[in-house]
Amino acid sequence: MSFVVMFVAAWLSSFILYSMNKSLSVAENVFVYLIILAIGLNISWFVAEEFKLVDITRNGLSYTGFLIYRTVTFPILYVIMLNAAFKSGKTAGALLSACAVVAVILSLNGLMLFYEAFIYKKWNLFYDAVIIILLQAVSYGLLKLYRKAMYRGGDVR
Amino acid sequence: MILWEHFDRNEWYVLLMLIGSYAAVIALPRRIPAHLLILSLVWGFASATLLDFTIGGGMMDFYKVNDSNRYELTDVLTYLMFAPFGYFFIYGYELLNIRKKTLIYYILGWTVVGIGVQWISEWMKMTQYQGGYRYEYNIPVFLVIQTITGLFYGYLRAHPINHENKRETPG
Repeated sequence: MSFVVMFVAAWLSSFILYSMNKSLSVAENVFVYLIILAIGLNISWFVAEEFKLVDITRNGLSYTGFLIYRTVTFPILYVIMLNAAFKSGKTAGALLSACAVVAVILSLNGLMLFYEAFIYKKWNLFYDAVIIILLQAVSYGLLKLYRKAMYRGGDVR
Repeated sequence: MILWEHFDRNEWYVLLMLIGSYAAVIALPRRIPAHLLILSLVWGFASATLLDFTIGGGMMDFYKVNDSNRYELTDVLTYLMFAPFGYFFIYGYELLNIRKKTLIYYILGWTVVGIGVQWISEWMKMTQYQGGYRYEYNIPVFLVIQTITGLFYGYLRAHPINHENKRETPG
């Protein structure tokens, strides 16, 4: 069941990103996606494989669901958040989209726990929330730096 | 996390490749805008990380990078070493003025380069295959990654945006 849940979540997040009015350029969207993908992969590796704080299922289908979540859904949610934040142009709107993404990711992690795709050994949802918020700050900061490089030149792709 | 198990030829190989590839990034005349240079480096780093953590680790674990299955500092340097190759791909794309009809030859050429680099990397003990993974299985990986890179860069070239599209920062 966790595979189905994660597949639907990946499909839904991709479709929301596709259909929303984006305020980031294609290059910016891909930049945020890749940054969060690379950092998220490293964090999940440290938490699960290096420090063994979380057990990840060895069931093939559930593990595929986890890979889909880690590779597609998780970074795309940050891309959606930043598009929504920049579109609103106000602090309140940005905070609202950030809080919504925290809630969605924690809910998805809760579902993965419920379906035993993850087992938290020395870990909990609070630590998840801390990492999600830190990554939000990192993605926002790096996007601002990227924008500086992007709009310094003339013709932008 | 450990620094390395034994500082031997794979560590020397990673360090020399790292220095050589970044020196080339700095030394090459600029042909693409700064933001695309950054994006291509991030693309190279992220794709290497994604592949290593997906098929080279976890449940599949088809190859070992450097001396052990543990996370080493040399592993981070290895992923950083792959970052400039994203840039070299884009650089060559511009240098050779690649178009739709020539993209296939360009990708095939890079696949040959990739096979060569992987062969040297295996010889230098940077990658060690396991679990029935064979050397030639890298070819589909190269084809998929390079095709996505080529098509995406072609899209970016065809759809430039202007300064007016810049949105204000929230807050």
